[in-house]
Amino acid sequence: SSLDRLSELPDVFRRIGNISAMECTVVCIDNSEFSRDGDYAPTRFQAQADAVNLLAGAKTQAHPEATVGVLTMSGKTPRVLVTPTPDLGKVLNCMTNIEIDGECNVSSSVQIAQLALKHRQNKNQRQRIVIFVCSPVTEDKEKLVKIAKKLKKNNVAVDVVSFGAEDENQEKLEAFLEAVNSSGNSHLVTVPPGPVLSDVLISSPIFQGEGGSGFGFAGGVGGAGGGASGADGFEFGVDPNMDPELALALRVSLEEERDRQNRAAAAAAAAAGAAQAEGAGAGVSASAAEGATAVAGIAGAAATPGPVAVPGVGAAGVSGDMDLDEDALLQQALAMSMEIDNAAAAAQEAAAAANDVTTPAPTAAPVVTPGAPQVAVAPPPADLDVMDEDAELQLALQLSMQDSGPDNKEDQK
Amino acid sequence: MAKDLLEYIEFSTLECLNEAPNHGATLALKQGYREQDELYLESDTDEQLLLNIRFTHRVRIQSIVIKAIDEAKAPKRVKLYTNRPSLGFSDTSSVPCAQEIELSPAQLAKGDPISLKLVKFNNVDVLSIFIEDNQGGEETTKLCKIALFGTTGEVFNVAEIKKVGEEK
Repeated sequence: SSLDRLSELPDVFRRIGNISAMECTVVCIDNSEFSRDGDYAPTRFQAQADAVNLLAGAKTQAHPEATVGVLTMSGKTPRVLVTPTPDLGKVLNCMTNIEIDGECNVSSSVQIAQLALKHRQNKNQRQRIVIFVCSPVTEDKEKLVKIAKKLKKNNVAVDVVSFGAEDENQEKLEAFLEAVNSSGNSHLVTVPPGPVLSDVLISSPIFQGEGGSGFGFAGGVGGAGGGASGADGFEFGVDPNMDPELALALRVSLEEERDRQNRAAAAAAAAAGAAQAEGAGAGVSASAAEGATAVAGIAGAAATPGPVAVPGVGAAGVSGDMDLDEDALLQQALAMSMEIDNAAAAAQEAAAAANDVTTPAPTAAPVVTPGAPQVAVAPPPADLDVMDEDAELQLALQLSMQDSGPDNKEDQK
Repeated sequence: MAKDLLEYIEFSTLECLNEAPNHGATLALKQGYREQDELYLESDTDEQLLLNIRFTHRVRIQSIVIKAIDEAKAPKRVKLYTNRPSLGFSDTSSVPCAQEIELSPAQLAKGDPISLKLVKFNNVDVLSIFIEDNQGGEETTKLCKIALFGTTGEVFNVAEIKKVGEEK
């Protein structure tokens, strides 16, 4: 489980890049009755716990003075299980003792989290709250916005992970995010059922930090015009000096993606996706024009179109529209796949090579992403012990020389 | 004898709560920026602002200048706190302030220096400036310059006090 995966962390972490600022993070957990649901394997609660463990690990490793605290949102009252600590062991430990009970009280929880942050030992740490939501939020939109404004006023950033009750909560959470977001410091990641929650999060801005350097390209490769993570120092979040081949492959794939998008613009009826994704915060790479990105989107769980590694995010605003367009998108994807070799294949196959050489994933996206967005088989393998990027790229380039184009759409969906 | 304390302000730790993106405190404090009226500090979600300024040396602050050209949005009540690192908005009601100032439009327009109670501002490492509201009850508060004057000498020179003038 997550404890086993912790050993992968140094690797995952190295590839993710730096979470730059020294932060004090309080994680709010949804331990309501709704979290018993098994739509996220094995249960919403357990998927959440895994993600929290990984997140705590990543944050404490990112910076020696980073601290993480945990509080539960359900039950008689929200309770702080661990006050912010640099000790990962304490966090992991407390996760095993949580009881599932009652309904969440988001507003009290956030107030308490804010208080915990205020009393952090190291006042130089930036303040962040990460909220997991897998049950319907009872507070109304206005109240949430008011809470958000207070957080913003006090310089607290917020990451929200919405899963399990995404549709019901979407509007409220987007309003909340928009009110709390200050220059892209806050994010909303919506995860549909299917992919492994942790996997989706690992490639999201929540793990990668603000404009994550190094491999922070979930935010960087915003080919769909959803907006790359604003603070990226490098064009694709990848330092061309460190990894020129990858940077080149990304650039080429981005160009290709743009071409496709232009051609598919008409068919992309769900331009609403762009608007929705905007609301999800600058740090989240949106998937606007699904049409072109259908190729990328088809793989992975909820047919989330998007050239980026975060399918869940794309699903954020788009779930309704997507169902209608999926067929159209599929048609397009098939058509496009017949076209002559494009270098996108290289990057795509680089990603695929990570998981399965024979079914190259269409995501023009980061190699970093483990299972989630790549293979359509649910649940996708969380294959973190992949080969070295250079080896992958070599293989990918070889493959692309051989084929005339990825003809693998039937493999997805 | 009072000099501009700008060089002792530690910008790396400067914090301004509720500042609007692109209209941050540095625009009101830094050399060059503060002289330009078009570059201003503005509040974000409501009209309050809280600046926490740390100094590289212990200073004695003798006067403060706040300049604002937008009359309605100019600050009105300002509370100063000393040596309370990371003061938050919620603290301002519980922590006693070193001095409370109510600014007049005339002072704001010209950027007149306002003398401070010497005793309270004698050994300051961190100064917090809490702008509670603005002149016109507007949603946001704007100001284009904040300057602080004083000295950094450790030597307590009685003669110097007489030169500066009476304490209020």
